Amino acid sequence: MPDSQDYKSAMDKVTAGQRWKQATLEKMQAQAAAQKAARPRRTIPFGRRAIPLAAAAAVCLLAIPAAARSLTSVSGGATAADQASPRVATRQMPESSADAANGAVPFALAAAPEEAAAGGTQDKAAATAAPAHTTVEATSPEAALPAEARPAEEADGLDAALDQLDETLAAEGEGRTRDDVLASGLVEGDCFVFVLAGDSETSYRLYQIPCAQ
Amino acid sequence: MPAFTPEAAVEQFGDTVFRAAFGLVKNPQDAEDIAQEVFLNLVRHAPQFESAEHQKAWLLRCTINRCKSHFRSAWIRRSAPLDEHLSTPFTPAENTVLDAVAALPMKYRQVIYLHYIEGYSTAEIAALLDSKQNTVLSQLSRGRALLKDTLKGEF
Repeated sequence: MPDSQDYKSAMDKVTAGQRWKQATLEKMQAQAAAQKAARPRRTIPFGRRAIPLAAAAAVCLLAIPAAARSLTSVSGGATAADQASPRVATRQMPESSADAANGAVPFALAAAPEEAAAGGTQDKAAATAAPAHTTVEATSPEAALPAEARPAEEADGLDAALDQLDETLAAEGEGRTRDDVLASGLVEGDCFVFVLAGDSETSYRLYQIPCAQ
Repeated sequence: MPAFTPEAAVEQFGDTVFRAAFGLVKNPQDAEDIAQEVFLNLVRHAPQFESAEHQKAWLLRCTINRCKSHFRSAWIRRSAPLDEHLSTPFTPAENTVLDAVAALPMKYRQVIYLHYIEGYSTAEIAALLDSKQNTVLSQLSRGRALLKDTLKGEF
């Protein structure tokens, strides 16, 4: 009489064919490829745009540790590297709200002392070389002159004033010279006024040069 | 736990799944279709497995569910020869017992297959089928009694 042993031996004979395995594998690979192609790129909303999640994650991975490091140094947690190298820039916050009100910039990047000193001299030079002109809107160069300006062609010290104008223009570094002067005049207080072209057709620069005595 | 690739799954469990499908539907073509669908489900759902045994249980559960769906479908193939699936032909005794098992209701057939072929205990079958162990014991007992009655022998 047949029994459970016959059942086992019968089922042991049943195996999946090689062709079936191959066909199944191909279908599985096709299914995986189709799923991968159909899978939409995950995004997160950012304003009106959607940023790919992978890109957002990459930014977070870079930005968050950097922010954490900057906060650590603000709270006084200077690293050994910071202490060893005085040239490493550190971020500083205003000491108080008063500092902030006085114009101290929060998180201003403070340069190393040498760099700060160099920057300071540069700032001074820049201050002295600051444009000695005012910008006025006028329909013509002559109209840009102050109303009380008198003709300067015959005035004494014109050449010296033009020399000084050249120096001023050279300091501005825009390649202008006295040849670019469109109009000139003499105003009260013995100052020469020179008009040069401005940034637009109706804009003029007014240079006021004191008369050399 | 190593990642389960489709290649590894088919290589390791292809025979198991096909055999289970054949044991439940007793038709090689239907068994091939069911087994293939089970592996496609594996790719589709990509479940995480704790072990190879866990993966095998998942595949068997999936196969049983597919077989049940197959019997509910309107079109079922008639019995067909096994072709390449048999290393050697079934003996008359094997054919008799296969016919007897195939004639059992599905609820008995599945526990008979899982117990005698896959070697699962009643507790494991209960976990796999998500049913109570007493129910499995009862189904196994009734299935065995039916087979004894049909085969006039021990089971």
